[in-house]
Amino acid sequence: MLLQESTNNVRRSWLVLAGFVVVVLAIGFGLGAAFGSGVAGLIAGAIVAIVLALIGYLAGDTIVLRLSRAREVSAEEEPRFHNMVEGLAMTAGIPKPRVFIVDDAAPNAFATGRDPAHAAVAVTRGMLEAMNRVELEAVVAHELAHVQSRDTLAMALAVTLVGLPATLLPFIGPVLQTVVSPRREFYADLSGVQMTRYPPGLISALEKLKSRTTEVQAAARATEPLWIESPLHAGGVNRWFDTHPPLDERIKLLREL
Amino acid sequence: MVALWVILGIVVLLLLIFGGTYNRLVALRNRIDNAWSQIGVQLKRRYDLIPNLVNTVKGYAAHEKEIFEKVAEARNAAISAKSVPDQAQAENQITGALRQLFAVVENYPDLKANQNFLALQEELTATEGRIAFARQFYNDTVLSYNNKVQQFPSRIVAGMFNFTPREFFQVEEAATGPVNVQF
Repeated sequence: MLLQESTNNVRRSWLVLAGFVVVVLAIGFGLGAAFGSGVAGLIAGAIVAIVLALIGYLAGDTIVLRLSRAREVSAEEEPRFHNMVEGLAMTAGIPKPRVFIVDDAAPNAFATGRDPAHAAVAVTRGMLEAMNRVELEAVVAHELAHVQSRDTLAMALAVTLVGLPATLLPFIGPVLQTVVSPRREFYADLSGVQMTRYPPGLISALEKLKSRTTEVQAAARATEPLWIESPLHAGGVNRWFDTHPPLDERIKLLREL
Repeated sequence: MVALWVILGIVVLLLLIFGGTYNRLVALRNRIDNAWSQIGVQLKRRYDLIPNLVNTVKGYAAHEKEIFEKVAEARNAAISAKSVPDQAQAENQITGALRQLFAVVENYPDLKANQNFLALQEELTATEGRIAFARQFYNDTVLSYNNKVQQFPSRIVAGMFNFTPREFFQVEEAATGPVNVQF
């Protein structure tokens, strides 16, 4: 299942990239034709598309981390958390990702990285405080599952190429929802539980998320899909950016295991 | 004439499939060896932490000689173990000795509050966790490999090139019994 999901995500990444390039080329051609030379517009569009795509691929994770005001923490600062991430990365068969903390009281977490060798996992201060060891392990395992299945690559591209423009032009928001399938979260839940071999841990963590606000102050709309639960204030335009399945459904799926 | 090309095409396709399957089997087998050495890395980490831990405890409870000797003995046995069953037994010995050591520590509240000791205890606990995760990963890699070796049609290639199923990491009888917790 994991290998299949990984190939699906890589394919989806290429599709997002291709779609983006087509859109930029079309805009370039359109603008160029309006101002005289369609071909010149096409060439300009091609340059813009390549540059943005490269930025999205190479710096996508840095952009996301910066946007979310995540702070890298060393093993000396957070030994328990570092040990937890290291252990879970071992069972996932990926190198240990960089560890970040977001200073926010709401419990939430995300992972990013174009491949497992360049990955990062971030949790809010609120998550560290609200969850016990078993629950925290379940959350980290869920995030590492995103990294392992190359989901974070698809997401980094989606965030940079679709999400950021959508912040300027919110009506593009629903495009994010078509590109980012809620199924991702189910897969990450299941893969994470496969790592910890303990579904009650994640169930308990998700139950806790249900009863608290997961709204993170620093979270940019563009990064919505990356978090374990939506970090945006519910309602209004933010509806277009919500890519998570309802917590109840996720809990129900886990209980069936 | 056309038939010749068709046959050639089929042969090339089969060779590609064979080659792909062979490579996959090699990759899976190498992953198992990697996973096994990962366990070794974590075990060594445990061995290296123990002297530090013993010295810290000695600083507060010097007269508990018996338990220190037990721990040292178990550690030496594990390091010098030659065969896998011997090492597994020595590992069990270490776990038992450490458990007794931590039980002894309960009687020394100053030691329990010592930052050095707490840090070492956390490292040791985390290492035990990592050993467990490493073993879990090892078993997962063996599962993937065994599936590929035993399932059809990859079992044809496996048979041709002598890929045999590998063993899972087993838990000893004693370890699956109920845990005795005494307060």
